[in-house]
Amino acid sequence: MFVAKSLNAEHKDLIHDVAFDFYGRRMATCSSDQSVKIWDLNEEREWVCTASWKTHCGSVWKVTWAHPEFGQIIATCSFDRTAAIWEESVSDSGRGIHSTWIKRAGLVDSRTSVTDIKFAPKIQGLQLATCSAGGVVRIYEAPDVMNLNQWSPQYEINCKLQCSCISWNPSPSRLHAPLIAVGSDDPNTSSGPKVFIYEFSANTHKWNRVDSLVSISDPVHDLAFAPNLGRSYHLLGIATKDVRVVTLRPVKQESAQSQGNSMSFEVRQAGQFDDHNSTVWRVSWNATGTILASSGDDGCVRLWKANYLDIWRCISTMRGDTVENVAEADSSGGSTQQMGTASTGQHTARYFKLAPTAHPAHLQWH
Amino acid sequence: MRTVKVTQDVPANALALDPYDTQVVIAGRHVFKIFALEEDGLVERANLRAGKHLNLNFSCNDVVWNPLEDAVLATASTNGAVVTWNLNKASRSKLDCVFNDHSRTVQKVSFHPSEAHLLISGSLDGFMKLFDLRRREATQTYTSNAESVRDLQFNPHHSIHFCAVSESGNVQLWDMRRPDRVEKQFTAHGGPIFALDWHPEVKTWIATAGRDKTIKVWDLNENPTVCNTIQTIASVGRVKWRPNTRYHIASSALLWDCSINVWDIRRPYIPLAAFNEHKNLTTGICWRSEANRLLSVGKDCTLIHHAFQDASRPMEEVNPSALDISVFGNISNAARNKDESEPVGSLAKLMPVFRRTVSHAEHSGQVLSSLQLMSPADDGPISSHYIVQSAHQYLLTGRSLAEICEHNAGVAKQLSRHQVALTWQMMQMLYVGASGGSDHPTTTRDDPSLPPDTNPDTETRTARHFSGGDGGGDTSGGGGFSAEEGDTETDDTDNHDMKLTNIASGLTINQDFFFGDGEISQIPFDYEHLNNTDTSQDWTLPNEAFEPRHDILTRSAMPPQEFSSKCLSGEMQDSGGGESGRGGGVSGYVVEAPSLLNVVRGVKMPAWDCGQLVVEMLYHYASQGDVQMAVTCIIVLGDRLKGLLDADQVEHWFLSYIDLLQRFQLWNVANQVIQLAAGLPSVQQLNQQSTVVTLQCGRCNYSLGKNSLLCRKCGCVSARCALCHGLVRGLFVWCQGCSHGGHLHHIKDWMASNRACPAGCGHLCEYT
Repeated sequence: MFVAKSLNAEHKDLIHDVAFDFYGRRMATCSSDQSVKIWDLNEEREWVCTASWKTHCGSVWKVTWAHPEFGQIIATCSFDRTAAIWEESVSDSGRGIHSTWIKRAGLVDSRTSVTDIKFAPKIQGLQLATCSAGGVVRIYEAPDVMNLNQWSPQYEINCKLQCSCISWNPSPSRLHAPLIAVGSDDPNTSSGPKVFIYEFSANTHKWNRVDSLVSISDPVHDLAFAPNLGRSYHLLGIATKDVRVVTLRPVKQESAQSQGNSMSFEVRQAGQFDDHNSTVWRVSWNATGTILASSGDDGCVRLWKANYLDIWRCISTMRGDTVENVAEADSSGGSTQQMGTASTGQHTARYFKLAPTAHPAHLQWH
Repeated sequence: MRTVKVTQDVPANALALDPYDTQVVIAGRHVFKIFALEEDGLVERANLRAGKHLNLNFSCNDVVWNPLEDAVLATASTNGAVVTWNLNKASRSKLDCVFNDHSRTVQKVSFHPSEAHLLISGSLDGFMKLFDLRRREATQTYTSNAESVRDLQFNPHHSIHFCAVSESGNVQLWDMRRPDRVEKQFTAHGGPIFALDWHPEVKTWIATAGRDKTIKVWDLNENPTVCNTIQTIASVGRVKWRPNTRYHIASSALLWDCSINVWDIRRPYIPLAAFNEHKNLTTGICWRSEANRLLSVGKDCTLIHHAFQDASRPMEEVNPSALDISVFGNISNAARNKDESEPVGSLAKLMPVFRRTVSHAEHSGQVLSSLQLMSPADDGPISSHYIVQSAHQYLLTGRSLAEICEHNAGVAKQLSRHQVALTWQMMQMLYVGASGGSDHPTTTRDDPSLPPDTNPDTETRTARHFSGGDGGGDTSGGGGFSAEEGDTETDDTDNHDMKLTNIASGLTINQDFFFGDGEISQIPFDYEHLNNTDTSQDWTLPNEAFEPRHDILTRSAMPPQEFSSKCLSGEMQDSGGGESGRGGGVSGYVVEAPSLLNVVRGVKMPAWDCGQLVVEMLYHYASQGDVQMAVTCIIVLGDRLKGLLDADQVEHWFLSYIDLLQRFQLWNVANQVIQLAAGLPSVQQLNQQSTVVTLQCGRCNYSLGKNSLLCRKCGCVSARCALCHGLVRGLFVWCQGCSHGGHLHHIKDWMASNRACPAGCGHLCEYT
């Protein structure tokens, strides 16, 4: 199913984040060694490091790409309590094209480590949300998309608990008001829910907390809204001590004067999996929002997908240099097994192992 | 002893331990106290700020305890005085001796490690003085070239040497016997150096730290070299090596960062431990002789005794894993290398005691991540191969509905997406008729295994009927369509009749308004003729209304009598297994056998609205993440779904799909979709945003107005080819530099052999 390939990242410490750009042709990695590296896919379809520079005075926790419509822009956040916006400037010096990344702005409002940074969906313009270990979510906006030097703080939300991760709802629909989910990695399970949902109210120009996921009281390390390409509800993947998939179904409020502006959500936990048997650190969705990937302390990457009954299950496990595909044993029956078995029957288990060198020729089929 | 805190009224600047590790003295501008380190906490023993005449001599910048005589203390005062204190004095004031040799604030004092009467001081006035407490006078003066001395310390291993750091960033090594010249001097930092500490074990190592936010470890051999550099987040005010460990050093910041960080110099990026108890800046730190205890004072007026086990461990709390999925389904994963976290052998051997007391993780040196990229196979569930292929191959417009459906079904089938293929075929049947789906012989056959369900009540609730039978979408009917088109244009009422009949038969609109193969129109939908389709209330028209239909459609593939008498209804499973339930497990979609479609003969034309069903199907696909299917269907079906869809929802789908196509860099398809987004002005506008083209007259450089190629200044037509001087229709290529251009092929030929502009303006045009 997968061809694994190791990249020698040459970061001098842990890599904390990796981010593909909008087109999947560039990749940014950031590390505790305070540097960020940019990788480009060359003609031979190999990833080549095209830039590497020191970005912060502390561990760089996250790196994220802006929509390419705004240019080649990344944002980083760091232990050094700042976040920074970098833009690529390409110069042709005659001996090949050189790209340098220029710091356009530093966001220095936080008094604690900035733990996550995310650009808003394109439809909301050039906006950034950061969250900090001090529990403050800050939303910045570049009023002029051509001038990246200027970022004005727009909103400040105090979450009370230390924040570890943040995610914008990527839905481009006008039906959905802008949403932000914030996760906290506060180790104290008694301090209440660890995932908060904030919604932007266009009427009051404020971000209001509309929900807290009461089912999650363990520290949350990562969360991600699934790309919403047309669903009426939102999907949230959460990495805590296990993998959770939560659906948020907007419920229109009856009262006429609210006019659908303040939504409440019907929260349902669609899946909870402790397959990693250890802390889950990251979750990530595919482009269509149908498959969730999770990685945990066990060194595995697992892929999760809902079957036709909307039951989430693991479809693939990748461990180090081994990839195995979990057979879809259709055990839990529904009213429509007739259809289900037709598909799963022919889909038998396929395991395969990848040699450490990850050369395609070394693939072994079991 | 765990973490204990004592709060004072005023902040302290420095602290020092007595030689027996039982008492600590804190000193500041308005505080000078001794605390005993008891098992259950810190107990105040003495307040040295006593007596009637409290002057500036009592306001301390630094304090040290004599390492040999436990009753002798020395302080550095802000007024430039160096003061010694003797605790054994009988009087209330323990002040022993005041040296007023410095003209500015004394930053640091340091006792000689082996000779109890020697004390050295460093001041902002640029001098260092050696005091002899027996002679009660300054015996030597060392000058640091008028650079303010920020810190100095005797070499604990070779105590005739001392080291001083200055605000200019220089480190000076002195031999205390040679005040005339500095033994060694080098620049260590780019800015002022605020702190210095000799390594307690490694004789040649010193650590320096300064305003450039770095802590540097120097090996003072012949040529001092940097062993390690730790980049911290703020100016460093204090550094102290952790006793009994080779690689650990504690630091506190001068600004901004209130915590005390303990670093492993082999892993200079993440603190090994952090003490976050101070609410304001930490001004002084001091390790106890046992390596797991640390004392500190801060501007928050507290003296804190830290226990190492209470420290936070950033190194262990950091996220060791990174994960992302690209739009193509490539998974990038970085994970901590497990084998790197083994304890360092030499260290464990060197200090067996230490190994027992300190947790495993504290031994780790460098920790690295391995980055792995996993590319999916084309048929993998996460692969987006099918989206790209489908987007490339799907027909959206330009052919008859039947052809489009059939083609798209073929595309889906080729990609092993059987459910999608089947959906296309059903749509073909629903809207065009069975004749179009020539590859479905089973649709006209009764399936004996399924009882024909003829109860209209249950039909509306559970069963799904696929009606067809009309040949309006005949695949070879290009001519037929033209004829029909002509007919509808000439006779509106007839057309209206026709529509109603179609609707009555369950075929909302079965004729296709696309012209045949011969003429692919730029405007694929002729909505003028479709504006009367909102006839949902006219469901129960008599069957006779079919009659004129067959007169028109001479090329119908089906015999008219068969059509009029027969309803083709495909019965599928209940709603759970129907459109909404077939989600497809992972990669294998449910293959719905066409044999499920059941023909019920002789049923009266059921008055049901297949549009609702199709809408349901679209919602289903969209919720399954297959927005491509939803949008493609909407485009292909066009106005057949008018009024049934929520415009906002459709806009959501379109925007999502366009976004997805753009992510795959399928610009052409994306533009086609934008163009075909009928009735969605917000989507159609996408093409008009940020695409301003200003034209300029090639002759006089006057900018042309909108939609005009005629220059208002010189009156010439600008769109002339510079080579053939003819008027260019269609593709016009021109140079942005000189505004000259012409026919694409002319310019292409010209630029292949020339560099200059063909118009002769001398501009070196670039053609790429």
